Amino acid sequence: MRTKALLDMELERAWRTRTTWTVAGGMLAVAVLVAYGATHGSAGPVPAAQELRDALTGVAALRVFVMLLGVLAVTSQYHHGDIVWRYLADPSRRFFVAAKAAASAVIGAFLGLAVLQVAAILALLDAGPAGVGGLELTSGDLAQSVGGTVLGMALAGVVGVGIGAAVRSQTAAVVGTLVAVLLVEPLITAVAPAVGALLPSAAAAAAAGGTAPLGWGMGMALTVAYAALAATAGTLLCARHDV
Amino acid sequence: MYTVRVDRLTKRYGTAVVLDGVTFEAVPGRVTGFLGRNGAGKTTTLRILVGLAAPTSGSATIGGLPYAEMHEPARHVGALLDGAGFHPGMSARSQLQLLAHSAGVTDARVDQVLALTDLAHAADKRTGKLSLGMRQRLTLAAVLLADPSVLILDEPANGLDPPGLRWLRDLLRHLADDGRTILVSSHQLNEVAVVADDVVVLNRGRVVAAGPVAELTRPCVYVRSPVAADLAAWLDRAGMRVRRDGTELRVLDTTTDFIGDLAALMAAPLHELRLETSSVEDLFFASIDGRKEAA
Repeated sequence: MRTKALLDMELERAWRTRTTWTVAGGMLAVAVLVAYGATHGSAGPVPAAQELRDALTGVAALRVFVMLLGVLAVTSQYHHGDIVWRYLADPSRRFFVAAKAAASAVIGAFLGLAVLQVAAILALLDAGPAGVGGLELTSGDLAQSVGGTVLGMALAGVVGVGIGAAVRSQTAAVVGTLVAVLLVEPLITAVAPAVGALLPSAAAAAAAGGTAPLGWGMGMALTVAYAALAATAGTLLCARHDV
Repeated sequence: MYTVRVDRLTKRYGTAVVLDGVTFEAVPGRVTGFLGRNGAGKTTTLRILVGLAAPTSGSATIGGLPYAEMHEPARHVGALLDGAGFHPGMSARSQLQLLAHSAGVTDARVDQVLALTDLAHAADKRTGKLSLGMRQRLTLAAVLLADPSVLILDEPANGLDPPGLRWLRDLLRHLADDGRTILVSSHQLNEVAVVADDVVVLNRGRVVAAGPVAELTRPCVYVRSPVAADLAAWLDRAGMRVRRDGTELRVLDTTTDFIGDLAALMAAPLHELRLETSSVEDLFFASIDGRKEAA
């Protein structure tokens, strides 16, 4: 009962906060661009199934938006001071991180489904009636890819909450997350591809059925492990600090 | 009804001792003023009381339990704390509804507290657009949402205009008369003097005075005499309450006429004899100057 009440509270806060809608809107807009690029960017003729796959795996990379939402879900409360009200309602730091993580996972999964739909619609529009007929939408690897993307988005929200709870400073957490995802991970991947393949973005890409060196199973396992690690670190560090 | 009890509370940050064995109570039906200069440890004490900070040692309980162990604490305790803010993009009503739902309170109560705090006209304004005074009223509205039995208020008068101050004073009096426990920290001594039944004075992390305002500010007869020790012994035997500090005596529940007549009978020389009245402000400054020990 307590868990459900706390989850409802977090979802309601996200629903009432403009930042959620701004970031979600931005994510959908970028998803349109990514999917359009995947379906129209090829130099030569590409099979409709391949274009669809490229569009779906392309939007999976937008998990950074969900991660930012997770970070902001925690740090904005510290930033604006409404964390005081939150802890007065329920002082448990463990339940705080758990409820935030669950809410961010729900939002992440929802946004994952939304961007997948955007990608699918654009790919199908591009393929036309003839192309659609040739698609094998029920194939197992496509289902894996969709499932991996949705789960990867959900867990990106959990990772974001973990980072936010551990750092608490909004600026530091947002900048740190962006630098890590957009700069540090690509840099490591360029210098040491074997190590880069094990990093969160590469693991999530593998789970989403991309061309990453890891297989789908290992990608999923690593993605789950990173989320668990972030949530645990966030809970421990959050509990150690007074408000 | 809940008693707020702070028992030998200590808080250290590294080598800095912020609270050093703080002990006091705030009881139902009374307004307890929590006084102290900036940095005395008032806010830290209140934050520990509601579980936002952890004590180094000692305990702080509400109704016998630490805040974190209370069942649905926000339904029983309303707390206004320094630093508590609102999301600037949310409207006042939206913010209160969010808090109401987390405490199991209906939206109808949100409208009630908006009216009670004279914020009904600004209910749909974003909190980031509210003035300082309106934000303070919104904070008080949030505190009152669950109609709590205990109110813990850190500087609630900040930002309020004179009508707001009067409204707050009357509200606290009404809530205390209704049997609620009110613990209110303030640096506005006159405000506390008007409304508080009890005071606790904190200085450098220690309680330096505590007790009923009427008792602590009771007039006494001040006597200065070279034979103060003999006078004190005689008055003590007569069952009077005497406090001696060298050649100075302070005698409660008596008159200057009585002490003067007594000194004449004893042939005791008096160098000074006068009635000493005291206010909360006098008590505060005497306490933090170290001239008055904890009761």
